[in-house]
Amino acid sequence: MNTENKKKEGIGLWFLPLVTAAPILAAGAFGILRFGPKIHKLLNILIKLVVKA
Amino acid sequence: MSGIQARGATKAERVCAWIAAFLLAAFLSVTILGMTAVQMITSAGLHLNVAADEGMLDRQYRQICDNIDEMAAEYGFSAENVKATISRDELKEMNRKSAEWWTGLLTEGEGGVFPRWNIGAIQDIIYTAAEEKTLTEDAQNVISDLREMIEDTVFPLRETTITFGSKMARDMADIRGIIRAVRQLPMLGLAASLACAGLIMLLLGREIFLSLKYYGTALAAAGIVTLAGCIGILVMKSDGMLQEASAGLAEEFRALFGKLALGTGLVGILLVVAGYLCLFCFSRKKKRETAGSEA
Repeated sequence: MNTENKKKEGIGLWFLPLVTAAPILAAGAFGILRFGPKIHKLLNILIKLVVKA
Repeated sequence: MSGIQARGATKAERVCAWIAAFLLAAFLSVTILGMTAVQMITSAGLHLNVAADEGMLDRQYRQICDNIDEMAAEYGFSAENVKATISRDELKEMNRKSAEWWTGLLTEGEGGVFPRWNIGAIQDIIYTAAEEKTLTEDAQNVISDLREMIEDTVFPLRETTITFGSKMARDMADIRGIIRAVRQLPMLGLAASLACAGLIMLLLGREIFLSLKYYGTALAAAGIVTLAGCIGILVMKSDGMLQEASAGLAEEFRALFGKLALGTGLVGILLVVAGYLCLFCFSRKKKRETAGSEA
């Protein structure tokens, strides 16, 4: 294994957690974008119902 | 291929270990964020802690004093005398009782009797003002307005709506059972995480240092997701929706989210540090083995 390849592999190792977390974060972001506004609207109704003005 | 990988694990084992590591990261982050949500819903200690928040008590005290000044100007009683009957300790106690009522409702489905502000001392001052004929309104109305104002400042929610809603929910479903089940959910996530960690160990059991790469990746990834969730909590903390509805409630939720974000953030940082520590150990061992094989 030459030095350049070893260096590349070494750098890649530190990015593995980011690569692993990326799909989970993407799924979370999708969920927020897809259901976030609906949940926000529901919460708004609930807050108006129980909070004293 | 390095010495560590060449000795034992086959390509299929490594692919399975990667899948297990990904699942471990997913289950672990869902478990931690789920624990945060469960804590927010069911932890009496957390709500009692928020109820004793000094900043919140200061704000409530100031608001009550301002409202008393306004009401005194409107109804014609001595604001200073009424203010003298309200102490921070009593406010703290009322906050504690409200938090107990609230958490009782959330954890047991039943909150008991809603706490009321003791108006004994206020009554005497208002009746004296009524005798001196300085009051512009009926004494009973003034007393009830004062009590309502103090209670609304401490607990700005409609307790009758909440009690009625929770009674309806109790009639429709076994709320205690559901709450117990919700409390167990993070445990299920933790069990799934342990199963994934065990699977990695089974697949790479012969290569302890190689498994560090997978454990490290999974732990650090779970930490990154947890920290992203923590940012989400902080975004919710600054959401204007509650502020529009009630400044007091927004303040209480800011204190609650602040405490939740702190705990979750610390766990996230710990996971990232533990993960990268595993990766560092793996990297050092690998370097040593590569150097040894080249020599």
